[in-house]
Amino acid sequence: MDTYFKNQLRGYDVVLATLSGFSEDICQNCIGLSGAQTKVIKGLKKLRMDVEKSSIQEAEKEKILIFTESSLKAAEGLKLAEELSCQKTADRCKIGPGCFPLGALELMNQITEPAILPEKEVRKMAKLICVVCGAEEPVPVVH
Amino acid sequence: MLKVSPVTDYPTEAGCFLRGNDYSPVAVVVLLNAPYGTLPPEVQSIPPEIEKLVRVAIETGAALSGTLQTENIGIEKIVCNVVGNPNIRYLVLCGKEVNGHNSGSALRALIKEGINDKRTIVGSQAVTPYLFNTPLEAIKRFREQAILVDLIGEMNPEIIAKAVWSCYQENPTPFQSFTLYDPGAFGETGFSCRLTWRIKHPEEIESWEIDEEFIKKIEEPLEKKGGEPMKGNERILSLTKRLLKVTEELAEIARLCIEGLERPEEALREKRLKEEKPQPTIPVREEPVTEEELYFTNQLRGYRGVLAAFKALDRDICHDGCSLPAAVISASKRLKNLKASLDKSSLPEKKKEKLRRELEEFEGVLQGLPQDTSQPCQKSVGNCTIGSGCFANAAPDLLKLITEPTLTSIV
Repeated sequence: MDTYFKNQLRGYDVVLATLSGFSEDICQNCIGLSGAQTKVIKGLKKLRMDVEKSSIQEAEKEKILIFTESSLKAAEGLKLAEELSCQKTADRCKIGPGCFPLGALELMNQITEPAILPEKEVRKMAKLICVVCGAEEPVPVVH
Repeated sequence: MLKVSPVTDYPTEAGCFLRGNDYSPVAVVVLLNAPYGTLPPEVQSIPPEIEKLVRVAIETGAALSGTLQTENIGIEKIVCNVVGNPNIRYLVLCGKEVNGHNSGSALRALIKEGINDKRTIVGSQAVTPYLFNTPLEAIKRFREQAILVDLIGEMNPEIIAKAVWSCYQENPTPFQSFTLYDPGAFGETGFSCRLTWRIKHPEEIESWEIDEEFIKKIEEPLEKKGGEPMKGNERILSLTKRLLKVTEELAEIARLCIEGLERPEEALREKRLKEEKPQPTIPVREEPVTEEELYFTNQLRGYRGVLAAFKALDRDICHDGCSLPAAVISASKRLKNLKASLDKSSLPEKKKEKLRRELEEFEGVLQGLPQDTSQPCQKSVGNCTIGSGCFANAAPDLLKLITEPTLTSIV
């Protein structure tokens, strides 16, 4: 399981470095970079929660958490201007329809293994509760 | 059948919903599948098919009918508005699942599993299913009061109308696999709450929010490091120091309160000044004047990201692999070609020089990166376990995002 976390962190490390590179340019004023930053932060926070909940060895967990925290700090420290706007709309970014920060995020798609973190089963739920006795009757969800 | 009035400030939370009959036992939540990360002000127009579902539900007799986009604030608003009206006993959840947010499954998981001690919805597949702003009592009450009629994926207005209609029948009415009827109001009075309750009650801190290290320090026994207990004056001195620290903190809080009350405007201004961060230096690059200049500028923008990725990979296992050197060599060749194109271009010499300097800077960075392709592939040696993908090979693809202006139209 720790392979999953390590691979994700390797990916985020590259993505963050790339975003940082783009933040040296006009992307610094762009909502595209800000959006990518938010996604990375959310992803890292989710990863942190998953690590905390996981059953990997404590020592390993601690190492991964330290790395996650430093990645989070790096993500939060990305250089961004106070006022942001889409640089395409502002007619400053003229690379075509593509977007560098979003492209950087795509680097995460290189990670295909381990497929995904083993997910908890979420059964499609519906239940009827008897208002008199409180008995619950599970019923299958209709689609 | 018991029906009661909702709380006076019902619906307590504003949002994208319509209010219908307050005595109806059903509220309808239509999932709004807008792009992930879209800010609310940018959701200018709700797709017509979703608007139709909202409208149909309210016209058929729902108490509330609206859209849900986010797995945290969106759900919290629903919780607040449902517990404010005890007549609402069913929550019909329909519409296509919200990509990225997975709000539908989060709401379903909330009703089924509730939240954990860190206010995260248990069993939710959403990215951030946190209900930080709703009172715990309200969440508990919501789960007891509302029965989920799970129709996630359903977009047929007739089926939604039938579901709503079935919920307010006096006799048990079969609807698909459900048997629905109006059981009357929930046994307790309405619960009035808002997402902003914590602003008025900052003292309501939950145990998980408290820094454990801080508590440990407070609870630390008055002992020396060696474990030897303090005696006489030493003990009093230590206690007095702690008291002094607490007093200083309290004095600071009192001072801030007095300042805030006596001269709120000045206090606000001071706060703003404190919060004002120095603006990061924004790169000043002259706007490219010609298409030709734009071509080179765009390429250099792309290379800046690619090189940053390379540098990060060089710090990782890719340093000892063969893909990064191969990608570096390839990027060097492309950069050389770009330089040759720049030399041949008709740009003014001054501009050429400026762009050339940037190109040379990038060449220097590439020179410092590994170029030995005889190293083993890190997948083959079992170090790289990300699957068939390769970060080093994918990083230069960032340059493919540049589609305008094309080189052929320039050179």
